Amino acid sequence: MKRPGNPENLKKIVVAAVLAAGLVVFGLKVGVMNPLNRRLERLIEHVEKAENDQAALRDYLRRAHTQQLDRLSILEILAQRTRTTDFVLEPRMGSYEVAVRQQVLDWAAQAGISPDPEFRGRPEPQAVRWSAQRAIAPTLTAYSATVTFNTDLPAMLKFLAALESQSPVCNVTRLTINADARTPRQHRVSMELDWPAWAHERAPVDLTNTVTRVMARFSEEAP
Amino acid sequence: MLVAINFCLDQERRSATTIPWKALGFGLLGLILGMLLLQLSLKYLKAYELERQVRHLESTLTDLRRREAEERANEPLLVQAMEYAREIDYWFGRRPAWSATLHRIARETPPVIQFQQLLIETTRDVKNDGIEHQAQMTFQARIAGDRPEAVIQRFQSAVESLTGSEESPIENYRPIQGADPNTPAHSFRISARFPLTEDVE
Repeated sequence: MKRPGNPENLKKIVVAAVLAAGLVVFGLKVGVMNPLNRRLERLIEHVEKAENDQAALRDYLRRAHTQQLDRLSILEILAQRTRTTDFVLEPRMGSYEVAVRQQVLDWAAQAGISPDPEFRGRPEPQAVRWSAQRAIAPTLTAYSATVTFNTDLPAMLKFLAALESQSPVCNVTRLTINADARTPRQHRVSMELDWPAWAHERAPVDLTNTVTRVMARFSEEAP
Repeated sequence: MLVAINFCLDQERRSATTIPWKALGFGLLGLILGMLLLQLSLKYLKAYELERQVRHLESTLTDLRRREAEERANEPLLVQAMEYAREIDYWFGRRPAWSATLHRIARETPPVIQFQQLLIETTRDVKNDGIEHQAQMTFQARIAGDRPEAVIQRFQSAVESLTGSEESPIENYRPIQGADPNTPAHSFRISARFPLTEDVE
């Protein structure tokens, strides 16, 4: 190879070549590499954000699913128990007392209790005291009555058995049995009972609609 | 004396290296450009791969967002249903079979024990996470005979076993004044508090 004769020329050529190479590298860096790097950075950020969003959404859906599974058994019981709304006390001839008195007298007759129990019912159902964090207005109120009678232990147990088997929701909230020294086999029995009654007119429809909708929704998603 | 005479002019002088200068320059330039191109290609490949990943993630996210929206739309319905479930639990939940319990208690009561009063109270405390069903059973009784403590303790154990109560203290245990001196009598009270855990079918 012929060497450039003049060392000055050689130096110029080398400088020019270095400058040209530098320019090419600079051009590539500014024109191609930098925009590409910025695009990569944006894409990496986008991927990270999308992955985080995806993880958060999956976490939410997993929690929601677990919660639904936990609630499923409760909701199935709800659906089963609200298949009919017959368990709720309806007034008879406009009176709750009339409706309940007949039931109580029937149970007493079945137990062979005589004379008929003394019966004192409240004029109207009372609201159940719920905590403040309720999402909906109460659907059911409590109608209470006090029943008092004199009887022996077997008859009282029969009365309780009739109540328990024939009314799924009548609750004995208080039961007092007092012995009477004069009549050792006869006791003075006093019971406070309560029944659920609708809180408002639309309550049965709202309850049935909600249960139907939620069970339809769950049966679609049930695993 | 050794004399070296150089007859070549400067422009006629040749390089000592066997590698041609031109090839060296081009080679070097090619190497640098090659590396740059390789780097660029790798970055383009990475960008392509990331774009593909973004497209895939976006499509998954769209599906997840749709499911999330459905879940969120269901939430009020679910909350409402759970409130109904709590109300139903208030009425149906853990209703004890008092007739059977009292029957068993009567069977387990020794003849020397006479009840003066039996009081049963149930409570349904509304908590944020559900209904707490509890009951309290209080026996006011008298017992006749010598050394009644062992009988009372056996009765206490029977009450605890029948009700599932963890504690049923014996209270107000005292002799009855004016009782027959030949058959001493004592009065006592047992109170059992227990959670209601079983439904009546």
